[in-house]
Amino acid sequence: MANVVLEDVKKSFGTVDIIKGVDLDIASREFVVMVGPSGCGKSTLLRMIAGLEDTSSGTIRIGGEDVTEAEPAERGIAMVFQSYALYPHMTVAENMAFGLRVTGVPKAEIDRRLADAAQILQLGSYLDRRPAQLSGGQRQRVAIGRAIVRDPKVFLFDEPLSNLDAELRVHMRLELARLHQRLGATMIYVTHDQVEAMTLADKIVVLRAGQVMQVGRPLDVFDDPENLFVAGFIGSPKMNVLPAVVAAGDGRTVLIEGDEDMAVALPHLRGTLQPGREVRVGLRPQHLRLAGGGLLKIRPDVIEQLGDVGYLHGRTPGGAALVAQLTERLAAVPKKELRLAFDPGRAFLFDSNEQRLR
Amino acid sequence: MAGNRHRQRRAWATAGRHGLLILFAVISLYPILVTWFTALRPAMQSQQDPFGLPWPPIWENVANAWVKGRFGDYLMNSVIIAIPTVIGVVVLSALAGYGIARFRFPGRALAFGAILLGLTIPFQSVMIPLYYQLLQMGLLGSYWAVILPGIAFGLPFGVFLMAAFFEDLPKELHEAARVDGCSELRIFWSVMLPLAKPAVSTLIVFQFMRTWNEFLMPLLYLQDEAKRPIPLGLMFFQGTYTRDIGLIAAGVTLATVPVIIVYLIFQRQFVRGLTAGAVK
Repeated sequence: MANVVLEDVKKSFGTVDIIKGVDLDIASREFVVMVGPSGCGKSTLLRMIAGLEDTSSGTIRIGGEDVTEAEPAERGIAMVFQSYALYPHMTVAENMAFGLRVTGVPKAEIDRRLADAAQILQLGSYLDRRPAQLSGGQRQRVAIGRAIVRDPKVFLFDEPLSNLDAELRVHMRLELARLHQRLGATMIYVTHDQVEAMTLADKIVVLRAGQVMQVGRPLDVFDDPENLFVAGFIGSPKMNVLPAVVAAGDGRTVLIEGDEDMAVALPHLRGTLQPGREVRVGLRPQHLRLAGGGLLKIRPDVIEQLGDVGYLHGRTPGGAALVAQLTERLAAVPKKELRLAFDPGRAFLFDSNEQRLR
Repeated sequence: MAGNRHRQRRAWATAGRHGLLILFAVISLYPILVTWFTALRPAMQSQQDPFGLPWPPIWENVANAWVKGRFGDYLMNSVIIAIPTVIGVVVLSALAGYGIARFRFPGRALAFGAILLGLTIPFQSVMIPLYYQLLQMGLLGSYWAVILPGIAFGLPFGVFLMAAFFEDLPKELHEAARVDGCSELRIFWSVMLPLAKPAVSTLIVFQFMRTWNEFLMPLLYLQDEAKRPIPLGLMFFQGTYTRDIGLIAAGVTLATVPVIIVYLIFQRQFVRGLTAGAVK
């Protein structure tokens, strides 16, 4: 297994910059998930690591070796594509063995690796079938098997679960986590699904418009986002963002805008803020609870009951959208205004440039 | 009641559709069947009852056409011309179509446009300059005088068909093969070409039919009687045996059989090739 290092990697299509200088250090055996909205460049970055896209500038190293200009097959990587990209005219065994045959691996060795991969992925009884005769989950396993038999230094996954239905996706997610534990391989995984990112990753890389917004362990990114984008992207339902101004006084109290301003003291702030400064308060839906004497008012309009939890959607008197994750079971939308309480220590503060204020 | 009426309407609609299809099938097959039946009956019988069935079939006309009409020679000449032409068109079209569909290079659109322009050029407009060209090259009168222009005229459609087909194949297959360590040629040969079977089959059938039925080109460039292909042979044969309908029908039957055999061999892939890309 090998580490992967990206140094100021850039990619442009004509005059349009897609990847705007990415630095990344991925340790050997680490499971790194690159996550971000559509068009953020995460797949392009993965394809650059794979060698399927040219790098406009910067350096890519795998296992200490500069592979920026190397062909995909010379990088020691294996890739699992979103669409599986299995060769339709070959059987499962032929699909998995193809890369080994091309590179001249002896037949006995091919057979051994094929048997190992088939056993790991429970594909033994499908080896003579063609991809068209397999279900989506089985095809995905074959695609992973094709990667495993190559015994690569680094596994690359490009949204591998996107084409599967919800139930199978959960199942395959667990399989992938087990596979990583078993192989102990370096894996780089691209997804737009933050649940996959949170559950699979040792390290999450949040991307936006070709730039890295934050790198960190999943819970660190969730608990301590660097900016409003990361705070909003990681976590479901999305973080509530309420406009506020810094109150006169100690510089650690903000007034959330509403029909009557709600003063929130934020003693955990390290510094003090200029009174009158416009800021935004971020509150995770999971940190809100129904309380008669709560500070936040909400005019509810929709309730989504998921069984164990429910989502109460509504607006503040100031007009900002608000959602709270509740453990109480509300059968119908209450006709009246409700009050929500939260621990001020769990409120996040952002400046007008969307950067975190600590 | 309503359900019954609905079922009845559906049955009528089905019957109407089938009736229409049978009518078209009869219109298409009738001339072919009459020719075959005539070939298998004595000429006298065909004159008295032109639409009768050939029972018991008489093979004399076919044997006479083969021997007297020298159809064996014509058939061999047609095969000598058709096989290299079809191979040439298929190989070059597949390679050129793949290149145009898969690679972005300067002048790509221009090259593709120039190839497609060939679809609009009728043979008649170049047949005389081509005659002198072949004469100059010393090819006039040889099989190459028909094979090489046949390949050139087959390429525009061939490249168009193959490029459209390769364009439709998912690019991830190409990328997966690159990750697997394939060279471009290996990707073409081991991954893309096997997947292009329907398009290749379609091209084989079209090109074979076109070459097999080509009349004007061999008439102009193959003046040696010993090198005449089927359509020319058929014309001279008709001139010699104008009165013997059975013999002429046997000649026509012999001329059509190879095309039908080629079609039957590639039929399934041919239909897939025609409908490729119609649905995702």
